[in-house]
Amino acid sequence: MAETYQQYLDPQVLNHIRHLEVTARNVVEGFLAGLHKSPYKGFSVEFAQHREYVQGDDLRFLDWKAYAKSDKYYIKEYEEETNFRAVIVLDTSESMRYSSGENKSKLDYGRYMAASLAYLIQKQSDAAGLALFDEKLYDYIQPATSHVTLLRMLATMHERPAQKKTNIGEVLVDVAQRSGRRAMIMIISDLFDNISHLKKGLEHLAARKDDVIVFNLMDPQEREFKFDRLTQFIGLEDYPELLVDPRSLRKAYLEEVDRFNNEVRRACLRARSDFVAIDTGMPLEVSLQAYLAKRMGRRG
Amino acid sequence: MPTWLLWTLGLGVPLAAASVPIIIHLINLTRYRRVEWAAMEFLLNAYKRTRRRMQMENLIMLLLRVCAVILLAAALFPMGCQKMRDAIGGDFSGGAILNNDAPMHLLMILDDSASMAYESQDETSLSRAKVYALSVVDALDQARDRVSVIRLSDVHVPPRAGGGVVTAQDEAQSRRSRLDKASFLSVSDARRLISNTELSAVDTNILAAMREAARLADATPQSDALGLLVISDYHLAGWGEVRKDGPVNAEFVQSVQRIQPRLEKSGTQALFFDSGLEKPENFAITNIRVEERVIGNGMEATLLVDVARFGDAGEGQRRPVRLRYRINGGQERPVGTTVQLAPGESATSIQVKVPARELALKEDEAATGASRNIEIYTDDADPLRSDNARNLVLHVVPNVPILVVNGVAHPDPDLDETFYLETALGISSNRGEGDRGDGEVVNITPNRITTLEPKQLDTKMTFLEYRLVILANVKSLPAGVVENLEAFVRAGYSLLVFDGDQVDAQSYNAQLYKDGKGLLPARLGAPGGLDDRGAEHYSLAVQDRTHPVISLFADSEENLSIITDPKVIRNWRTLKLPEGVEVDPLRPTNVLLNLNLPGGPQPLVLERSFDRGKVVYVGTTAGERWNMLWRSNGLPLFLYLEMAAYLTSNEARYSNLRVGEPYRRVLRGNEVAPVFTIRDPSKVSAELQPTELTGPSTGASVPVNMIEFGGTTQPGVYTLSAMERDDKGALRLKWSERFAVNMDTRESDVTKLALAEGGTEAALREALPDVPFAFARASTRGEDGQADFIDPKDDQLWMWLALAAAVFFTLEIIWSGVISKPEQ
Repeated sequence: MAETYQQYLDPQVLNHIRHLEVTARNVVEGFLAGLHKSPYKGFSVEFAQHREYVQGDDLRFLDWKAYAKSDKYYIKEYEEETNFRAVIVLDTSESMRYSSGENKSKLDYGRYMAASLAYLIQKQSDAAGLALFDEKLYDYIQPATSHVTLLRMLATMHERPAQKKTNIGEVLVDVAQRSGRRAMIMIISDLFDNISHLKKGLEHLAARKDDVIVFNLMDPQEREFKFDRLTQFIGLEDYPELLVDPRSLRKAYLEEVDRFNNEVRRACLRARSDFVAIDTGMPLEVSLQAYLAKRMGRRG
Repeated sequence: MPTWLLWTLGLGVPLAAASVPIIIHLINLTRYRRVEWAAMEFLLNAYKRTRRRMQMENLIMLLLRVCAVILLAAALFPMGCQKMRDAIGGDFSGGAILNNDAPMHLLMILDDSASMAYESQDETSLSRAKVYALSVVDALDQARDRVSVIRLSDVHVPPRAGGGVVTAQDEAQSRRSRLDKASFLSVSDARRLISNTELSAVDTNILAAMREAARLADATPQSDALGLLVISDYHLAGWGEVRKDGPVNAEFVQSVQRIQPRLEKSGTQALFFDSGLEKPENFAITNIRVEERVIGNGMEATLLVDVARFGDAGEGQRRPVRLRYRINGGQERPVGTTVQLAPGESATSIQVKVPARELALKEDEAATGASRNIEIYTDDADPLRSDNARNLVLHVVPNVPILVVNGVAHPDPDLDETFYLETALGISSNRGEGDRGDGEVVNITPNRITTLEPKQLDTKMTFLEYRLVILANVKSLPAGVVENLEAFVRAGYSLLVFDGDQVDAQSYNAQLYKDGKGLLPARLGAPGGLDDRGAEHYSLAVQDRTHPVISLFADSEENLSIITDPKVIRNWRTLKLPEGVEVDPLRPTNVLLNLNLPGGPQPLVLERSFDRGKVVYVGTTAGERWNMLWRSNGLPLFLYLEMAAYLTSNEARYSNLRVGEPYRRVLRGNEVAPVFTIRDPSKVSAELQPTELTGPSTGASVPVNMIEFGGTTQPGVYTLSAMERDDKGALRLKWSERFAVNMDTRESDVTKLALAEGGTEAALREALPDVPFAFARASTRGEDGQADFIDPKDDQLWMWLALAAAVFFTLEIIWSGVISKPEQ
């Protein structure tokens, strides 16, 4: 089993990302909310204890209140000063099963993506957890830094088949409740659900001030709809079948996709979440690299 | 072609073509791809939004494809188009010419006449006709159907040699003997016959062909279906006779109407197919004749050439026609005159003088004479090449031997019966005795006169060394001599009989008239007039202005007066023309000249054919015993000279034939040879056997040998060769002679049968007002090299259909390629 689920740690992907880390470590660290440079100060950072100041300590963490009371310099130490908690929320609904041509299915792509991110997070001694869902939240693994947790995450992802419908709104509420304190929530999904449900979930996370990144996976065929002959579409997630000439429908379909993407973007913006559109036809490392570069640029 | 096949091809092909897109559409509906689809909500929303538009688009696209395919099929398949038009009640009535419900007997009149050689874009009208004929025959049921191919060459009946009368019975027999071989053929035999049909160079006799078709229709079993297909070029020559105002329209309509009930019963219609061009043009040499009836050695020849420009192409512009000639294929010489002809114009009697030196006999020909072929041709070839050149063979004879039997010999020229006649006939050259003159000596007549007295006539004389025998006031003839004279005339030579006071009328009637079966054209009665030089003289009147001799005098009033003005006949023979049983339809008596008597005209000069020869009787004396003709204004000089030339010109006549006219030549004693061959213009030789005319049928005591050849099927020069064996038995040429065969000039007239308003079809419909028929014509060869067969109205229709199909296809491509094409 271990041999199988470890496939999600694709050496090629990891090599790329690791290479990315070596060559642009700052970017990776920034992405992972590196403590010192993060513009998002306060992420997963909680006070643990005081200790006496020694030369070289960052004066920003000097506890001026304690100095006023004791006339001594104390430095505030935070429990997670050098790591943070990230929960990777992976959609395993039936719609994620879809793949076109030689591409990976969205679920497989998501699995690789989740595994890669978890690996990198843990590699920096940060905690990564996993939540799998379709109609509801099935599996939840608390964020941890141990390698054992990573393996558990991989195994859980591997065993979970794609089935049932999506109900992302309730799932996100459930995740928020289970994750306890604030965390980085990385949602990997095609988001094929009622948009209002998504909005509801994102708004709930936003209220908790969780840092949310929405990775919206779409197959190239779903994005472009380049079918050229009469096709019977068999709906996943209990949708009906439809026999149609796709060429005559393409324009309207693309409009529907655009409309959906725009609404999702708007919902993410309103919830101050990052929205990342991922094309599963693109190599995973390229997709991640692009996003990381973008995020780095934003950090300045 | 069976009806079912026509319907299948006519409506079936476009309908089948129309069903193709629908079938493809239905097949596609069953051959879709199945795909599991995640983004189904988007798809369903899109589908809900566009469902109506999509259905409309699909329907429109399907309709476009169906229309395009139907139009294309109809455009590419005119027969189908015709059927469609029939089906939708169009005015085109070219419905089923064939029927598939019963065994079919297809009557196919196939024009293979000379005008079908008209060439356009490397294709003749005949080749187009054959292609169409084969396409129709191929559609018949091989095992069941029958075809009768009535080719105009099989209908053509050549005239008899020597102008003999051909009876209706002869014609029917002649036609049927050929047509029977082409009637009720199996499909494969018909195919072979059509494929092997070649241009025949005969003229178009459509009435005779339709009559034969009617006969074959009558012979078709009642249980069989009948079809009628007439393939021709519909030129005025031939078809003009049967059009509404044509002389035989009634007979033509009658023949078609004889067939019509059978066609109606069969559910078929006659189809007239035009394989010719719409506006043909043709320059033709329509005739060459030689003014001199006989060319003797040393005589010059005056050729008279007729040229014409036929057809209605060219919009009235004149075009020049230049002529050239050459003798025996030698050096070509221009004819000085160039004529300018507008469409429909002709120029007649263009004179071409052939000098005596060019015709003169060579040393080795001096004894026998020789043939000279004069080929006259136009400078520029045109689409109908066969009439751009014409041949004329002249036999240059050393002389024309004429025997004069003088019934009253006398030392005094005025009292001698034949002195003046011999003098007139024997004029030899343009120089009188002792006249040295200037320039070339040119002979005027070729005649060599031999004079005998009646007592010198011998029953052993065959007369075959002469061309003409003249009996002048001869009392009577011994029995054996009469028989030999009859054989002589039967062989194609001539007899000229002058009456007179010495003639024993009773003996003549018994021996020469024989109750209408003998040589004389009329029964002799008592002499008329007073036997007194001072008695009243009477003038002559022309009875037959068309006679070759009389017509020379009758072409103008001035010339006519040479005959009619002088009152020169004092005595004459009363005659009783053949009546009742004495009338021989094969040998009718023709009165050429009458005597103007107070009581009414009295026949004076008569002619009758006697087998291959002619007999002319003159009811007065050759000398002056009964008349004072020789003292008139030269009448007898011209009259007797021309008459002698006319009566001795048989050889010239036989040497210049029309296509199909048999060649016949009498062999004189020294001309008989063991082997005779004839070589035609294609250089193909055939051996001939002489025909020996002997026994009771001829009544000749001496056999007459004759060469007959009926295979004059193509224009050009033929060569007859007599071969003899040498000491070692090998064949060698003894003598040879040529003769020319020319196409019927009628066939040169390529003017279309058409009305001022409306084309050939309109003219046909006017000619056959109550007969429903279809009409179609062949287009010229297209760029793809294929001939198309189209209805005249379809030539524009098919273009519109094809254009519409192209528009539909373009719309379909735009629709599916641009409007419905996935965006990139």
